Amino acid sequence: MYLDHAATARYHPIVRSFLAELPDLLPNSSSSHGAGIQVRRKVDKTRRIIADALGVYPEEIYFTGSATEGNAIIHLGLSKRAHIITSEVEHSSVEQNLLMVESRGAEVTRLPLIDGTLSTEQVLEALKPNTRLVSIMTINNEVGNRFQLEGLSEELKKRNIHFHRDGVQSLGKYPIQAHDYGSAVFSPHKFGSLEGVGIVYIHREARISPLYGGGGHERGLRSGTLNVPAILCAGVVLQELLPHLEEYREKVERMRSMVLKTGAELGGTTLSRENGSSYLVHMAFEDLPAEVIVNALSAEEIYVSAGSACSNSSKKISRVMRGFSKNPSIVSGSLRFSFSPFDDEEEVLAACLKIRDTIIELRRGIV
Amino acid sequence: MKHLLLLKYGEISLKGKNRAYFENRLVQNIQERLKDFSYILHRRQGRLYVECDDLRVISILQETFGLVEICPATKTSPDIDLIKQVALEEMRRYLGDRPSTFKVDTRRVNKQYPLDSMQISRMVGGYILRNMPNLRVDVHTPQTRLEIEVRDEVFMYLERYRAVGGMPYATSSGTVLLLSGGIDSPVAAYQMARRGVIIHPLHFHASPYTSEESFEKVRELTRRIARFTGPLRLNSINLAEAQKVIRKETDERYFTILQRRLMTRLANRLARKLKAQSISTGENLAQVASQTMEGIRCTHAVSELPVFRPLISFDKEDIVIKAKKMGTYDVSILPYDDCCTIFLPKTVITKPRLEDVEQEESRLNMEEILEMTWKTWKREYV
Repeated sequence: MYLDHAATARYHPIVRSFLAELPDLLPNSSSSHGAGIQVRRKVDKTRRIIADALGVYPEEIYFTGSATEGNAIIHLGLSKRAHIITSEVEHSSVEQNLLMVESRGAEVTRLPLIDGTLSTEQVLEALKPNTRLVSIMTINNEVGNRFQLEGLSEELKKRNIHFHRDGVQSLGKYPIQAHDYGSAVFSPHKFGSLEGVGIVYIHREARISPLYGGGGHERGLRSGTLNVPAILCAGVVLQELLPHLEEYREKVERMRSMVLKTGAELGGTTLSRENGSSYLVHMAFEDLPAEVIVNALSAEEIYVSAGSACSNSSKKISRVMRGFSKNPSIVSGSLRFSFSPFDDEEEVLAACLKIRDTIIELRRGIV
Repeated sequence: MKHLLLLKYGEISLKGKNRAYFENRLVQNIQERLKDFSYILHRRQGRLYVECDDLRVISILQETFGLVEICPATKTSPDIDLIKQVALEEMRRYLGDRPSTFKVDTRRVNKQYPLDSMQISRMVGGYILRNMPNLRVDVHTPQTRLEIEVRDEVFMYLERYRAVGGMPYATSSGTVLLLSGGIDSPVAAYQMARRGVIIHPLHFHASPYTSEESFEKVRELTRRIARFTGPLRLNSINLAEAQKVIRKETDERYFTILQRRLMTRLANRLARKLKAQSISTGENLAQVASQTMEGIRCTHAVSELPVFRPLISFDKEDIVIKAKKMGTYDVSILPYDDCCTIFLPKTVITKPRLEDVEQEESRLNMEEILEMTWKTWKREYV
């Protein structure tokens, strides 16, 4: 049982037929001949689908190679020597780039969470006269808490401060309106489409310089041949998902409740707030390191993640978790279970029983 | 075939009656390593030659244990005028117009040949000197050395590529090599393999308390070592249950040493099973608590077979340099633990006394632990 859909989600059923119908040639979308123009039209149609979903203009949508690249474009392309506000619990693709601009002279304020979340007031209080960028994720990828920050975008707009959102855990799961933001990034493989493409929304008035030069694709912002199959697929999947968001959310919420119940019975602690994302849940067992549980469950073919998959191999497993809890045993025991609406609830229930047996077995014989 | 390579081996040529055995193995190893290339291997009068089209063969042979030098050579007939002419062409090709000091060295294997070594060297050297005005003779420290070997045919060469040396792999019996996933043990494997010892890698893990990723890392290390030895099978034993028992029943300060004694016993058992004659480890004196002289004495005490520790006197830096050179370093430093933190004791005894260790160990039913742990032995191709 795969319960790590927040790392990469199960493909939406339509992906299989999309791939089956993939033509044996997709010409280069920047070619000037008719065949190239046809591909360009298809890409632009996908751009419109995505723009509509986000409530923005198609010309404000850019395709990159990944959401990580999207975050890099914004943070490295926008922030010079100014003041930047972010949170302690951002994904590495934000944090690492902010460390870079910090070393080049920018000043970064990392807001600590209060009760596992952030408030609009916190951000406003941290503003300085030279604040140029506020970068805060919409949904945390390890705990699932949502940072809704109501009214913040208006306040920042008044002050002419760019508001960036890492929306990777949102698109295709929750309705999201991006037009109030300066920019936002999304990732199709997190909502059941193909890997290899990132979606970036940038407000048409924002000025962002490209990270590198090239053939001038994506209006000069991101040169490099487009990953056309992955882009088209993202549009197809999104169109399929959007009418069903609420129904799917209810389904994964039931799975999430099962895991929460199992965890509570075993004395686990969750840092996920009740109004957090239905698509994932955090659970920690203070007496067992998360890695041990991950390994033991893996042997039972139940795949969950210890913290975020991107940070696993770097021993910095706890940077984000430390932002949520000061208790070291919770931090090192942190697991993430994440769900797909295309999984079977019965199977998740069966997995919960196995999880219970595994944890009881692991506890046996440990001093 | 475009290229002719002359292979020189060092110590084997010192072997007396066993020489053929070593040579045969060397030839087999070369054949195994060159199997993806088209080449012809000649074996004549205690010399090996490889004819090939692809010069990547050189770098592979450079890493083949038992060879000391690879020399791209030119072949000609044993006619002295022809030798002079080819020698001049070779020198011109190699040096162009560059000034250089040089020397001609001749070995006359074919004793029937009418001229002796000195005469050949002098005639060829003189001819080159007359035709290449930028050269000067220096018989003591020449910048360029032309070697001529007169056999049924004549070989000459100017370039030499150093190879790793040692003895051909698998000319000695096997050793069970404790492979941890750290920097040292792959280097120890290399050092033993370099002396011709067959390597049986043995990895102790503690699944699920250690990760699949850490096991994968050891598989990758085994593959990298296998670049020098040919295909290896990785042995593994799961210590998780044993660790639980040791941790529960004994003073935590003895955990590491008791665990190492268990590992040594299991390695001996595996060695008997695989008919290996020794155990090898990457231990290095006083690097960590269990590798003090006292610690090593306590683990060694339970080994029936000799335990080789080829890195015992190495400095860490030297081990790192060797690991980088053999290409295992970048894998070794991947950050996966090979023992789970829940078992790690807070304090350890750095200078244990054997009597105390034995006393502590007597709290355990060692026979039962050995049996239970041995059952988890697995052997896999990586």
